[in-house]
Amino acid sequence: MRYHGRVVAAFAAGVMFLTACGNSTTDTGGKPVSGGTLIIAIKDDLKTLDPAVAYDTTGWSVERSLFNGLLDYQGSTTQLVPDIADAMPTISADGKTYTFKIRHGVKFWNGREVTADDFKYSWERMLNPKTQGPMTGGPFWGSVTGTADFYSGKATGISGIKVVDPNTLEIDLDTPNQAFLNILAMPFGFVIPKEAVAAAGTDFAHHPVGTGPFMLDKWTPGQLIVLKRNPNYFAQAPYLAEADFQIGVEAQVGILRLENGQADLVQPDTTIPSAQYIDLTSNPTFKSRVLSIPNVDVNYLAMNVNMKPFDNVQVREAFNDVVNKANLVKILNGRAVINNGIQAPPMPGFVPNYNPLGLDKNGQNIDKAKALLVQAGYGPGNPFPPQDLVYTKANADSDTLAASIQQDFQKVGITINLKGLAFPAFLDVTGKPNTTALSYNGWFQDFPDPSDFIDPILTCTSANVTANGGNVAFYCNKQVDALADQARGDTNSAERLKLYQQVQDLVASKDFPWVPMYSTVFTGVSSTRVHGYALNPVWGLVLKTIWVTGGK
Amino acid sequence: MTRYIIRRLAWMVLVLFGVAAVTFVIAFLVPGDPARLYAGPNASPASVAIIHHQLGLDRPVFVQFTDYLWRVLHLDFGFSYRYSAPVLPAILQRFPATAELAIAGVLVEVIVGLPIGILAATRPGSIWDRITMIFTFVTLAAPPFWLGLIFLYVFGALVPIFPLGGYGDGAPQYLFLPALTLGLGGAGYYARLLRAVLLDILPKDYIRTARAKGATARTVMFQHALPNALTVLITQLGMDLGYFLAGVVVIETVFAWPGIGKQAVDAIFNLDIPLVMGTVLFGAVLIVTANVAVDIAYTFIDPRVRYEA
Repeated sequence: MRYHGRVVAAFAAGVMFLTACGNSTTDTGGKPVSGGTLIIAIKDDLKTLDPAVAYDTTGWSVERSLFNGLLDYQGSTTQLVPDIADAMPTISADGKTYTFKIRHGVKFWNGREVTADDFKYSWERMLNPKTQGPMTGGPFWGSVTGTADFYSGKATGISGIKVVDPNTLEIDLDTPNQAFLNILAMPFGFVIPKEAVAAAGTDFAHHPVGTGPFMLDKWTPGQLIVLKRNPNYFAQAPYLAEADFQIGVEAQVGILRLENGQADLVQPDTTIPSAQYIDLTSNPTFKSRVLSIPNVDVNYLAMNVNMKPFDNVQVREAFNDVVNKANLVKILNGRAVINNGIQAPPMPGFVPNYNPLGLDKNGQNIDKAKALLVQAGYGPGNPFPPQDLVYTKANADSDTLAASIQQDFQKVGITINLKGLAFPAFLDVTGKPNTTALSYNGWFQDFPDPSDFIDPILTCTSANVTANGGNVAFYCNKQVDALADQARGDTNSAERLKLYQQVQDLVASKDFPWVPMYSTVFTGVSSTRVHGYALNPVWGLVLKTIWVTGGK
Repeated sequence: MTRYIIRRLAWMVLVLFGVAAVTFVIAFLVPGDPARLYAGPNASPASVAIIHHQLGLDRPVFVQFTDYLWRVLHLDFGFSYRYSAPVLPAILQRFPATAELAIAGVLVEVIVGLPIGILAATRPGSIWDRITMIFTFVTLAAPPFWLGLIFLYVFGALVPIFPLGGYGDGAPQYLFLPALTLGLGGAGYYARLLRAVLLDILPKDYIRTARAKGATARTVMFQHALPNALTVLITQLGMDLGYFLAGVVVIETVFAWPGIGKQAVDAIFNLDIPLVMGTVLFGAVLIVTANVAVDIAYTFIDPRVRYEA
């Protein structure tokens, strides 16, 4: 997920990193209290609460409390567990057929029990071009048999989604896909009732009906979203009676509200702004309430391999030796770790301390960079042409980070001009071929599988586009594609991860389409009345484990 | 008189057409594909292409514009890409908050600005004049976002008398700080304007005559001087009200006030072209209407305008 700070939400936990990076949950001591209202201040109103359409983390973090899918991630981990499914599915030996049993007694808010037909309906609606959802025609569900015919209108349904009986659902894939269970767990896989969609007309986005622990009670656009506890929730009931999302609150003001007891959480899908982070961590009351967990993201410079001067691999390698990554980490108040690879901690396949170029502790090797530039033909007689660094003005840190990189390149005699753009313009100019030579990007997981850090952003398929591409380096190496294809269907986990590591070696130590720089650490804070606040690596906010004491 | 009003209304239609055309062209010149934002930043190019088609963005720009104008004539402002909802109801839903803030802001301008202006004009060169003029200088010079943040910090956090932003169903305690921030700059301007106009009027013969006839200072000010300063003030007030009603972007953003100004800013950031067009056009209607209303009000206040028209 390419992002900037306003869009992103990045919560990555990963159990093994939690202890290393600080608190990941607020105190859970004491007996949970039922009742009370949690007040959450958020900046932007939600785009939609239609799970077929929403593709933003703020929306997802609310949807998570309203809907359920077949599978879910357990607690603060990336471990998949059954949700509406009765058990984990049976998977055929060829890895192409998944059979799910649906749990009995799961009811929509309208009282009707969920059946396999509801999943077939929900998914076909989600993939129907008329719904205008982002999964239509996309790669994630493309391996389900019959999707191509459905997209093109040749078929009215998706043949690969079969209702065997009211409690049995079978899904057929054209090719095995080891990430498919993660794809099913994405919010696009949530189940909704057909009759509620019909009743809402064109506005299911604002009148959703789901199965989740909370129900939408009120949504005043631009102002307030109120969720109320679902008394008929099929699993353990949430503690909170109500959760109020107050909309339009800038993060700085939100933190003031939190400190003054007027809010409990602030923009829970965005890391604390740098200035407020320093304030909070020096405040005796709130210091211990700051959560700190790794993000599953990688931030990198993309060099368009089809554009001069980056069509020369020596130039790209030289660029990999220049950026002082330790400085970037400092600018982020230490809320990042240097990353010289393409996978992020704690994604399976991430190699700790990966350093194929033997860079120093700052992530540099200036002498080597200079030598490589000379080998590439640049020197006093042929100075390196000045380059524009295109980046998005996401937050207060964006300009500082870009300026730090600019200064690094001055040390090897390269002039970098900073070109900060609004997010839409940034997406536009970086996603078109032969338009942007050098750009500053970030990629955040869709789901915790290494394929998500390769398929959409580093394959020939993702480079072969005319616009809106995610592969902003327009990098294409058929060997990478072959390895990615092989890994996608490989049922042997260890062998699969080795294949992804081979991809990482090709990208980060041979072809150099990127300068990988760092992966960030997410920080969040809660008021003193909040207990049991924890973040899931994929979902972020999990309302059902929170309880509040005192106050409203 | 009737011809004058008809002429003003015709001019209003022309201006609105111009606004619609310019906004439409600008929205299309801005780089970025709305379908990409609609689909999400990491949607695949194939998904984006399908949505691009579904939104009708692959039609020629001219066709899209004429189609848009035709629909606007039927009060259909289109469908917001971001909120998946019709534009006009979305704007109307937010408008009451903006209207409340705009009226309160204008009231602050009048309640604070008028007495200060009168005080300064009646004692030119005095210590009162200097103090009030320094006050107006500061309120005029202070950027509203800065003033707003200072008010929020001081009266919301340090001495928590007022809530830290938000709407709270329009309750007075939520309205006070944004209205004060909004009105203070204008109040400074009114005070200076009124002072200048009154200083121009007070030495005039008819004022001297009134004084000679034994009228009190109060009578001179409120019955003779102030009514003659009104035309200038009403022009400015009308324009301000129209401008405020069109959405006070900065104040609404700082105070999390859910009005159409903030809605417009969000729409711009999200490349939500129908909503951008809708809010701009809606705002333009309000500003132009306020202008025309002021022009027409003029004819009642100042007979000379009526005769000239």
